[in-house]
Amino acid sequence: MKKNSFSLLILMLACFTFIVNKVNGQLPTNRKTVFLPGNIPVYFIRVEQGSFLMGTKLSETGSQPDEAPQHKVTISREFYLGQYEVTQSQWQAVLGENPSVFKHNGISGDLPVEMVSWNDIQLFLQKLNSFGIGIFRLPTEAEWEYACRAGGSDRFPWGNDPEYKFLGEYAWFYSRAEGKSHPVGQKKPNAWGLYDMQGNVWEWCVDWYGKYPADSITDPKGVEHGNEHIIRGGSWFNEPEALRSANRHRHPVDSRQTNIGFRLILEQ
Amino acid sequence: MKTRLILLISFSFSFMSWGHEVEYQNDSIISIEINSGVPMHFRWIKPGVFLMGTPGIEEGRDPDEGPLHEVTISKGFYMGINEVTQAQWKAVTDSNPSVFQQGKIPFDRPVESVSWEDCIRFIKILNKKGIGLFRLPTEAEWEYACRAGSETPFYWGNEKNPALVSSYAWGNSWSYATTHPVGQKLPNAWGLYDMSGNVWEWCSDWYGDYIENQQTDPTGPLNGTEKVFRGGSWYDFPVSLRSGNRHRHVPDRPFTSIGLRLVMEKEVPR
Repeated sequence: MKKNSFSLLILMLACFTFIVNKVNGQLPTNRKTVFLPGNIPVYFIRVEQGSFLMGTKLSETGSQPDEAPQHKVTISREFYLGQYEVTQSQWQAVLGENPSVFKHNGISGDLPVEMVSWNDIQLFLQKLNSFGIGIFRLPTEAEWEYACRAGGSDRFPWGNDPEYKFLGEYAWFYSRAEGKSHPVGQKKPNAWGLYDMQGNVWEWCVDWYGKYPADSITDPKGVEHGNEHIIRGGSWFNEPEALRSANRHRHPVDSRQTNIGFRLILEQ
Repeated sequence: MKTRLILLISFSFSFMSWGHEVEYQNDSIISIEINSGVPMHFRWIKPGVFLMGTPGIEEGRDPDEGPLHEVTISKGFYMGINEVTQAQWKAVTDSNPSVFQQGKIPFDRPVESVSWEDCIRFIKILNKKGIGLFRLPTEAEWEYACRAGSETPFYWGNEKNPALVSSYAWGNSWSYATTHPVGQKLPNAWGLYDMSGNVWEWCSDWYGDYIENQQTDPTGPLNGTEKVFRGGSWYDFPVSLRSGNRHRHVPDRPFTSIGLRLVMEKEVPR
């Protein structure tokens, strides 16, 4: 009898924990879901307005000259950022084709779309915005880095990780012989619930590539003109240092690569 | 035009810096037609002796690359000048498992996403065509042909700077995260292309530890769980493109960075 009531207590406790987790873990209030044709969901996470230090001090291990000067950036309005990289099913749902090199192959999970140029994405956005389900765009470089850092100021959102002990828990990056992209959302998210900000595929930003301003700035949109657009976050192809939150890279507008994709912003 | 000029310059530069000479033997090339319009070219590799493996001081060396040991290749053989292409694979099996089929001339790219077992099946079908007897190279044949007389980390010398490596091999940081049509880079001293980079190449050997003694025509351990592949790929950094670098995987798993190169045993007279 005593043993039984003890078991019951444990069972009730387990149920209670489960329910609490369910309430806390499922359907967070900071998430929005939009449905594409064919009932394909796209998830967005609300990112609050705030300020952060963009770029690096050049003392950061692995930092590049174009990540400096470190400067204060204010994001004056909250925004909704894609919780995952745009997937092949999502691209297919909008444009009816899939340009990616790495195809499903019957494996469960949705791979990020790649082989899409910055220009291709403008066509995708045009079509997507014609559906009347919301106004979508690419993130600015500042929005991207703000959301990637998720309040952190270290090399990675989870810390400096000098020996890359934790990188593998959060990101897909170079690993001998394994040359391919991976289904989105298989690794741990950052503190704000965003997946694959580091690794898997690079993500196009709206900005032209250019020098950072030295002074504090609000809602920066990058330089006025340029030859190449910003990509961020590193990919399955890159060494760990390219995955640092502040790392910047760029490609021409019509460049299609097997390791570059993107993430959406849903405008209010 | 511009790229050609750069190629020419880097080629002559390589002559100056390491005194490389491409030692093409006479009548050393054989061309086989798999199907009409799909040729495959082989180059005669003479018998010889070489040091297999890497010395302890080599930068980036893995322990399994030693001990350095003397290997005699007692019989010459025909080595594929290029990695097997998607067109060649398709001509034999009527299928193409490769991931990198994008672009205008996809079928000149090396076949990849083929397991070791897939390669053995490919060779079986090819051998039934009556145009020759083909097989995978042994690990020793592969390294002998790759080194082409060199004892440096790479067949082009010691240079591991991507700016220079990129004239000889497709590797990470300059491959644009994809394979490339075969034969676009400079060949080694025996006229073989892409021995380093583009795709790794399956060998016939099981993976095992090297034996210290002098050996003749080694074929690797009798049994094992993993097959050897060599040469590094579009996905790998220069350290993996070294002639002595070894890697291995189970025989039934395909990878986007692994393909193959064939050895031709003998030609059937036609």
